[in-house]
Amino acid sequence: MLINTRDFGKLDIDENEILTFKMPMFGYDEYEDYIVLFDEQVGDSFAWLQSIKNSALCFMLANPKMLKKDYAPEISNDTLEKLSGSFDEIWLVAVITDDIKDTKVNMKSPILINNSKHFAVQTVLESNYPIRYALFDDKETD
Amino acid sequence: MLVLSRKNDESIIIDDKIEIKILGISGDRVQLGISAPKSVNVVRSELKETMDENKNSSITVSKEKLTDFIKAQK
Repeated sequence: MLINTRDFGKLDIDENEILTFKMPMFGYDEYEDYIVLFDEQVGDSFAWLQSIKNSALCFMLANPKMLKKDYAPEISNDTLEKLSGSFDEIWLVAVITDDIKDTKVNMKSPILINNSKHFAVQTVLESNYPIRYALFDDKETD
Repeated sequence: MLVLSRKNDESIIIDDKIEIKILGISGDRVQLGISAPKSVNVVRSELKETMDENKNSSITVSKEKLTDFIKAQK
């Protein structure tokens, strides 16, 4: 199907790649369906979480593999149930400003994806993780 | 900031409309009960911060700038 995107123009996407958010992005309850887009030159360090319904709505995601420490937070059973039992991908919502070195990632509220079921959630972890973590300094800022 | 000390089962009232009651204390957790009119939006502070960060994430740098940055890193 053809969709309009914020940063990639018009794209012909496979409907099987659409993710349904069982726990929506906080503050965006009315949008459930998204697709994760990649840029060839950027690789898998960053991704674009593009809304299907609203072409202007797109979040930036950062791959937690960029963090120095392993990121393997404990996920509550409630959250796992929403994902139909498991997840195979984890992403951090990134705030990227003009000075990209200043990028902050939200380690407290990751995006979890179950690719085989096409389900996703944004969850708030019980454990104490920073909400604004300086990705490239790899230290907490506030 | 106003600082008040409360025991289990005690509460505070804000503006005659909102009651916040201590329902239980165990270890480092305090359970709060909040009675407020429907029009009052109650969220955990980290949730509000996540909402703000989501919003900030959706207003973001151009793809070209990010591409240039990644190229420069390699």
